[in-house]
Formats: sequence, structure tokens, C-alpha cells
Amino acid sequence: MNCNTCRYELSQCLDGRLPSGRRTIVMGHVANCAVCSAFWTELQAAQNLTMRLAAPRVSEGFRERLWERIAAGEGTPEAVFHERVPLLTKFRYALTGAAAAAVVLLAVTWTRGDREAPQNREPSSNGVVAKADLHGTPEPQRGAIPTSDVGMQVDQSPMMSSARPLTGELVALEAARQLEQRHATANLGIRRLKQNGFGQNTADRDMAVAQVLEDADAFCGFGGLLLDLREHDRLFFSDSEIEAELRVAVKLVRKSQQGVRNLETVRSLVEPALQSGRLASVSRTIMLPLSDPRDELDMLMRLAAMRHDVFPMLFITFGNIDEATREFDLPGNFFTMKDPCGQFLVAPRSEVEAGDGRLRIFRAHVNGTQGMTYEVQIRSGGPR
Amino acid sequence: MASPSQEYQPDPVTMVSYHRALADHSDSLKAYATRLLGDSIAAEDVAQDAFLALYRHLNQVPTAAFRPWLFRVARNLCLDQLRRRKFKLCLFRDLQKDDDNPFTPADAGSARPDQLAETREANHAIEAAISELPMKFREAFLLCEVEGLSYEDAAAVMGCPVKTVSTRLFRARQRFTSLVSRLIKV
Repeated sequence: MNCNTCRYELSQCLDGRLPSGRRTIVMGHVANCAVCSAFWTELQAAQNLTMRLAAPRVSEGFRERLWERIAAGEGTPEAVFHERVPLLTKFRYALTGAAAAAVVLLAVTWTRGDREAPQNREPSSNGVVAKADLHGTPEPQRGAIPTSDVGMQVDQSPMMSSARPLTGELVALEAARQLEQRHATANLGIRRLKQNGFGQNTADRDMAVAQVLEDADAFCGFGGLLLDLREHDRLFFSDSEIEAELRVAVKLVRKSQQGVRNLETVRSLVEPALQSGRLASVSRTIMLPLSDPRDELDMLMRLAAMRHDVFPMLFITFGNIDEATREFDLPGNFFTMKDPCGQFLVAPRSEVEAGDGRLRIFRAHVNGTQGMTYEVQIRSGGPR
Repeated sequence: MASPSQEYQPDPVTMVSYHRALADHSDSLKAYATRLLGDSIAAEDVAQDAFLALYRHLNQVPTAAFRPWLFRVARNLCLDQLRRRKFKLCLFRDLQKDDDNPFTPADAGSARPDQLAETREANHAIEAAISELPMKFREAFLLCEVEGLSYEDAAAVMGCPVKTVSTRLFRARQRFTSLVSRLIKV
């Protein structure tokens, strides 16, 4: 028998809780083990000591005072039923609570996700605006336009309340997204031209060259807008190399706009300008500082005036609010903008695609990994 | 204090049991509380509060369960007091031990002065050894070893399994034995 087991059982033996068979075994070990034998003797001696210990007596008036309290109708002390909660139990309760809270949070998120589009993110505390997620990716993603509630019914809520003011942030993001799109389209055109051979002189090739140059010009316009914002500290690039490459690309494309524009222009200037793959991720590198809303409006008005060629390429203007309310039944992916003539509704072109009498508004599903498309039938004719 | 219970009048048989409990357990309850609190005055209040609570719950507590119920209530009250006056206790404990002599040996009347002094010194050493035990071990030791509660009743008082009581008691005895080894050898 193990000495530790023996000592533990000796303690039980002292209280008469050991079965007789077991007691015989334990006592047999004690008889042969000097250490356990000494422990057994000490244990008994210690018990004798405590048995000799006198108990304090309650004072003489104990009972009288008790009856007085009972007669006075005194209630049970509150602490009587205050159980001490062990730390482990508290920790277990905390874990259970946290798990329950997480489940509730997930349920709320899931429920809201079914009804709502991604919400506009508030500016972060470090002064840099976080971007909303249009593509359903779980992590914050740059280059996405924040959208308003998709579930909001126009007939239930005035359009004014569903449309939010256009901000410099939105302009920059839309410019970056459009720039990336044009960059991709121009590079695709250049690849096709290469596949067909630069030397072939066909009508298709001329059209392809014209298309590449058009994409490059648009790229240059969006890039110029971003660089203007950068010059005025309205925008920053987290990757300085991308900023540098964008500057070079814009410079080269601007150079290509001078003089005759043909296949040689594409080969010598446009292709080198747009060949960098980094330019496909500009929207992920731009960072926007917080700004005063009054300055924001002023900046937007100046931007729209100075960049009157670029601005319509970024946003579709739906007219003033009253007109738009009557004529369009959009679910809300548009923004309001003021100019000296009044207030207008604008929608980012990257999310609105016109065609066949329809406006297709691309919205993201908050829980999915792929964007959901909402098609909205609108009347191109008179008032509804 | 909680509001008094409704006009409950215990039946005479229950009252007899209550009086018996008062006679049998008031001293041991005070002793248990004293050894937990280290303060005999507060311990007497605890004992009285426990009996008051028992009176208010006589219709709910079976007669056979009076003893563990009282100890359970006393334990809760002691722990509550310890939580609230943790630091005060340390300040006044020593003063009180000098002024108060609650532990009177049963055979004090017939003992010689030198024997009385020796017994008193031994009692102080034993009380000191008990007070040095960690709270969980001390509870098990006081309930089972000093007050003689069964493991089951002690488990009910402490709110833990019987096996835990057994283990804690074993540990408490190990420590206590080593602490009073000087007295044992004498």
C-alpha cells in the first residue's frame, strides 16, 4: 500500500468511516511502516488535543436577547442566505454570459444582414476613414463605396432621408475604383492588340487603339483627380511606391495626349504607363483624413467645377430631388450633392450600370462572399 | 435586515426542538463562529442571528436538520462579516485575545494554578494552529474535528461534495499535526 493513500485513509479511520476490511489492510501497513505508524500516533494525539479544547459559552443574556428580537418581529438577517460564489464559478458564469452575448450578437448580425446592405463606416479614431465593404468580404476593404439601406422602401421613407450627402471620401473612392477599372480595360485592350499583332492595319485595330486611348485618358483623368486631392492633403497613399507609379503613369498618358495619337502612341507611352500591376490596387492604398463638413462641401463644389470633365465620369446625376423622387424608384444607393443651383442626387458609376432602359444597382450581400445584384426597373418616361 | 416573516406561530413540538437546539448548539455555534471570525463578541451575534433565522424558518427546516442548517447560516454570516471587515479584524484580533478569555477549560475548577497556566498556554497554541489553517481546511477541521459533524453534514454546510470534505479534512489534519507537534511531543 502506498504511504500517501494509507495516511489519507488513516484520517478517515480516525472518524470511523473506513470499512472494516479496509481498516485491517491500513492497520497492517501501519504496523509495518514506521513513518505511517508515527503519523497515526500523531493524528490520534492531535485529535485528543482538539477534544480537550474547551468551547466558549454564550453569555448569560443570550436567550433573553434572542427572545426580545423574536418578540420585536425582527426578520432574518440578509446575509444569512448570501452564498459565497467561488472564483471558478464566477469565471464559468462570465464565460457562459460571454457565449450567450456572442450568440445574440451573431443572431442580430445575421438577422440584420438579411434586411440591410452594408452600412457606411464611421471615420476611425486615428483620423483615417475606413471603407465600407461592397463585396461581402469580412475584413474592411478599401475602394468600396458606402451604401445606404437597401431594404428601405421609398414609399415608406422620403428619399431625402435615405440619401446621404456626397463626401470627398466617396469621390476619391469612386475615382480610385474607376481608375482601376480603366487600367484593367486598357491593359486588356493592349494585350489583344499584341495578340493580333501591332503591325496589322485594320479597322478593328484602329477601333481597339481608340478604345485603349480612351481608357487611358479616363485613367489619366481619375489619376489626376486623386493626385490633386493628394496635393491638397485631402488624400494620402499608404504605399508611396504606388503613389510614385501613379504619378509616372499620369505623366506618360498626359504626354500621349499631345500630338498625333495612334498605335505607336499606345506602344511607346500608354503601354509603359499602365503596365504596372500595382496600379490595380490604388483603391486599397488611399487613406482619407477627417475633414470639416463645411470644408467638404466647398471642396466638392470646387472639384465639380474644376473637374467638370471627370466628375460626370464618376457619378450619374439624376436631377434634383423632387424630380428624382417622382421619376425614379431607386432603393437608395445614391447621394445628395449641393451646388449653387440646388441639391441633386448622384450615384457612383461603378455601382450603376445603365442599359436597356434599366438601371442595375449592384449591392453587396452582407453575409456572403459574393455581391448580390439588385435590379431595379425604372421608368425612363414621364413621372410615375 | 430583511422584513419580518408573517405571523408564523410554530407548533409546540417544533418549539421544544427549537429550545433543545438552543441549549445544545448555541455554545458550539459560537465556538465555530469565534474560530472563523477570531472575535467572540461578533461570534455571539452570529450565533444569535442564526437562531433568529432558524426561528423564522422553523416551518421550512426539518427538526433533524437543525444543526447543519444553523452551521450553514453561521458560516454565511461569518463569511459575510469577514468580507466586510477584513482589515479591521487584523487590527483588533490581538487586543481581544488579551482582554477576553472565552475558552475556559472544563476542569478549571479542580486544577492547580500551574496546571491551569499550562492548559491555557496549550489552548492558545491549539487555537493559533487552527487559525493558521487556510480557510477551506479550517472550515472542514472545525466542523468535523472540533464540532463533530458528520462528513455529510459538513458537506451540506460547506456546500461541497463529501469527498471534498474528506480531502480537506485530511489536509487540515496534516497541517494541524505539524503545527502542534511540539504539544504532542510534550
